[in-house]
Amino acid sequence: MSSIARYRDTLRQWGLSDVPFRATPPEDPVRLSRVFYGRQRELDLALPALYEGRNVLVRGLWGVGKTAFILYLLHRLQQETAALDERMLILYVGRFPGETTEALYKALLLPLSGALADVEPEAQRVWDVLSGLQITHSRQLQVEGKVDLQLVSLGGSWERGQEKGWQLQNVYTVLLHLLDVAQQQYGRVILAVDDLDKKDPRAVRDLLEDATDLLRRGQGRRGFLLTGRFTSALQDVSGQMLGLFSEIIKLPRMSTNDLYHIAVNYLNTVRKRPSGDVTPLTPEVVAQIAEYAYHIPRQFNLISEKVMRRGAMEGVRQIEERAFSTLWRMVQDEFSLELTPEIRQLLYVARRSGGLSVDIDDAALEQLGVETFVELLPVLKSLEGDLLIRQEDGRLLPSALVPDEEEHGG
Amino acid sequence: MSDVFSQYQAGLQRLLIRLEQDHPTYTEVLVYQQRLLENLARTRLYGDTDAGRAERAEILDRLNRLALEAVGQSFNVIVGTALSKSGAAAHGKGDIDAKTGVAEGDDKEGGVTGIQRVDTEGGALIFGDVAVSGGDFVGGDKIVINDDDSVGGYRSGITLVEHYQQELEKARKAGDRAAEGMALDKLGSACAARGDFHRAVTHYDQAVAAARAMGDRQAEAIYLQNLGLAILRLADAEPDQRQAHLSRATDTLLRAIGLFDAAGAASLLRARTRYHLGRCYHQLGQWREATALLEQARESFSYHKARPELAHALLELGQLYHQRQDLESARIYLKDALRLFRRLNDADGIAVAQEALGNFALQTNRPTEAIVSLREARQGYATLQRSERVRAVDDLLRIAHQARRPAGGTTS
Repeated sequence: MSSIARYRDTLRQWGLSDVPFRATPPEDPVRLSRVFYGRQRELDLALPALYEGRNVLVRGLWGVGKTAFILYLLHRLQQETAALDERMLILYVGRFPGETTEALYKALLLPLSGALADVEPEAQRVWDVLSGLQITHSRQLQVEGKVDLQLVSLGGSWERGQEKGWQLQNVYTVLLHLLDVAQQQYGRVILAVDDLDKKDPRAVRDLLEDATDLLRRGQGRRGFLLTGRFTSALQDVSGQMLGLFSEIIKLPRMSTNDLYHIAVNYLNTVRKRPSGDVTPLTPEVVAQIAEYAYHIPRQFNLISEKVMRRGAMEGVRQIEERAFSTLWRMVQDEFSLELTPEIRQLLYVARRSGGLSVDIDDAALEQLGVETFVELLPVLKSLEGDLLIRQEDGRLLPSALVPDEEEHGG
Repeated sequence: MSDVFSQYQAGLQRLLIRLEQDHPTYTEVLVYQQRLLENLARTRLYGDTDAGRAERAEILDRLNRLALEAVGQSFNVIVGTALSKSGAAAHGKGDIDAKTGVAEGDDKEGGVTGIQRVDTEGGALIFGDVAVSGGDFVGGDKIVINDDDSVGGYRSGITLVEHYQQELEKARKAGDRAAEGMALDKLGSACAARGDFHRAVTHYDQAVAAARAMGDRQAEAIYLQNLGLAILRLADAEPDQRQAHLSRATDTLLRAIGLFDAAGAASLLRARTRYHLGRCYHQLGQWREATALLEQARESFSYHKARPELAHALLELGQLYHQRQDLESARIYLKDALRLFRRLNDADGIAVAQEALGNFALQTNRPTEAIVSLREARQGYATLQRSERVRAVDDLLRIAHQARRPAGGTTS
């Protein structure tokens, strides 16, 4: 039997059409709502604040589920506002190029001008100009009664296309004008900007300082929903000092029980008949994966996906603890092969040092070929998320997917 | 140690004269000159270490290669020639005592108060700089000052200022504008070292004018940098005119950077100017400009493994991030600064970094951590006889103990 045939056959035996787990959540709010679980307390805080047009900051560790939370939150806001027969325009900007306020304003202008192009000539002009900047964007528009939800993610560079005369003057003035138009049209406007936490924190700090006027204006009719890492106690102080947010919502790691329900939800998306269990996994294995994932959903999904794929390839009937142990070792070995020697060395030192932080000793720094911790920051930033998992005390620990080379005898 | 020091100083002067300022490696030699003299300064003040010896060997090796390529003689040979010409090697009075680093005067507090006083503030860099406090260092010429304020490596009995005034007169008589500019620059440094910043500024201004008249952009940039630093010190010395001095220092250093960049000067030299300009912006409250310049300087110092400069840049950045409320970055940079100062055995740097960390811990509500840092800072300042800083740290310690005390309780 071919590998693919065996893979398909195992999935069939498991009663699944596919391996459903993905590291990143579905962007489609409807699909997302099928797998989303928990965060009720945080939703209860954020929903009324946004409905009243207040600013909300969602913060948490990398991979803890900020994007999923925001998308689900906006979807709920759309549904519940529509149920009240009220009008609202909700804009969501995911990834966008640049780290300046102007880049942020342009990113906001793109969906805003798109939403108003039919009713405001200035919006049509802005839309034409921004479309000419070779900014790639994916766009989804959902209309729930009188409530529009627009989702965009942008790529490319704002600079490109300018030589052709595609320029937008007085970006901030134009943005304020169109926001006023939007408020006249919709009553309330909610602007969500995701992925700020994936940009340089210092640039984001400058960006937020520069955007203070925008964030303070229109409170009550215009709310901003932003994401930030703001993970450590130190960052809390500075974040709250900005004083721009009515609610600062910290998303904690998820409990084993929550992750179990997420696993059930994901599996149900590829089952013919929904079920309340995690077959072909077992509750014990899910608990084990939750622990390996440091209770971070992104890691949990990543590990679950890799283990299930490997299990399907190997024709495993049920991934109980013993089978999981074998599969886990295989997954770790495969994962390790993808790493460069330099990264492997860094992860090794991270594990031996009990995590990487500014308190790292000189000998460990010497092993990494640097004299200061600051020198490591760019590489740590690039590895944080999938390979290095940040702890609440600021330490970065290697993902459990990275095998302990000494234990593996490698 | 001082004999070796004098020999190297004389050899470096000789090498620089032979190279002349428009030589492509002139700036590079200046950079190594500074690193070597800083290394010797640390050794003189705190004793030799393996790291210090290794760094010195690396610098001398590089100087030997540069000299061999540029003038056909190794630096070691030039040092020997200089020695035989000046006869300085056996000059007992040229010894620089490692005990105090203070040339004259009884006040050992931070800050320059006496006209005859050169304060090392616990062994930061004393050469060619103005009353070194924390982060001052320059890439220009260096001056060796003996306990009696005579010139190290040269004949004893005349003051530093007198020595360079003589040099200036000689240059003017000979109609040598380049030598005149160099003498004016050194005279400026000598005045600055004595705390006479106004005279220093006058001399540096004249040095800049001389270099400009010669069309020597590299020299003009170096003199501008020294001028900028002297004005920066004036800003500290004259608080009522602080803003005006800082603005002028900023303009001056901006011109220096422009010239260095245009002349394609060595990156380390440019980094130093950026560092000083970053400090100006920091003091002016222009934090973004300060951050950008200091980060550029830090990267360059890190690349060149210029540890003393790197430590100071990290300290400055740590304090800057603290002011900007970027607390995570502040802690990382201050800890790294402390790490490097420890490696350099820089007692002053350790004390300043620990005080900054203590202050930081206090403001982030971690009094126990603050007390540990502040105690070490206090001990360092006390050893360095910086009683003004000791008093300031004592105030912080009192606050830290009060913060740790449970409500209604007493300090254990």
